[in-house]
Amino acid sequence: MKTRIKEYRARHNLTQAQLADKVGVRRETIVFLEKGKYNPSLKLAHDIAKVLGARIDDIFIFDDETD
Amino acid sequence: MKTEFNYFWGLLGVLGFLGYIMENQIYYVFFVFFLLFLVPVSHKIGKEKNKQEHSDSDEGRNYNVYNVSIWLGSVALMVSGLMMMATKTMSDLLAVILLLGITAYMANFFTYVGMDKKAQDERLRKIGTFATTYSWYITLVFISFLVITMHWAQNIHNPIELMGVTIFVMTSTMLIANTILSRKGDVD
Repeated sequence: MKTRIKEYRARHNLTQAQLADKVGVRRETIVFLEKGKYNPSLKLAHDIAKVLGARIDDIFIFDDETD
Repeated sequence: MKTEFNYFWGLLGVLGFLGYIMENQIYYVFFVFFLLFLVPVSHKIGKEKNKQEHSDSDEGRNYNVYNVSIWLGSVALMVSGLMMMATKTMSDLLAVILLLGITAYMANFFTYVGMDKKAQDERLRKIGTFATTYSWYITLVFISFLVITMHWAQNIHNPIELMGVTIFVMTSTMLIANTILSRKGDVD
């Protein structure tokens, strides 16, 4: 899974820590999400998409979608 | 300002104070742990005081304090487990070390595995759940096989020794599994 969190975060001028605070997780969780090493729950994906003003499938790209 | 009382922290304080009253040096160890737990409590109070100045680095530092407490508690539990295996008997010193270890766990474990209601983190919770499940499973299998082999070998060990093995295996496997999964990022 790939994510565009970093790109959207930069657009909104948010740091990893600020985004983590807004969605109620630790900064490390955002770090692992950006690296594509962590699969978030639907709720967390929804919260992140909401904070970044995008749809879930704009931010989280699954491997079968990129083929 | 809303200050919440941490019972374990309070208990350590009272036990530490008992050291002074009873002039028993062993109780002074509790006072050291009391001071250790004072750090997360003061962070919590500080956060309430300055909500405007709240930053995530504080949150991270706070979690690291819980993390250190669990590591120290684990060391205490593993040392007591090893001592129980080696000496095959209990002593006052061993009981104090065991009590300190388990108190550290009781006070910080749920924060460590991300299940604290005030500071939930789904990744930590997921990792923590897997780590404790692995730990429980390994301990169950290990102890069962140990008891079976002991029976067949007609070499029945002392119950204290077996308790030491259980405590050591349970603590070390939980810590190792949690550390490995935390570095990996996810359990998938």
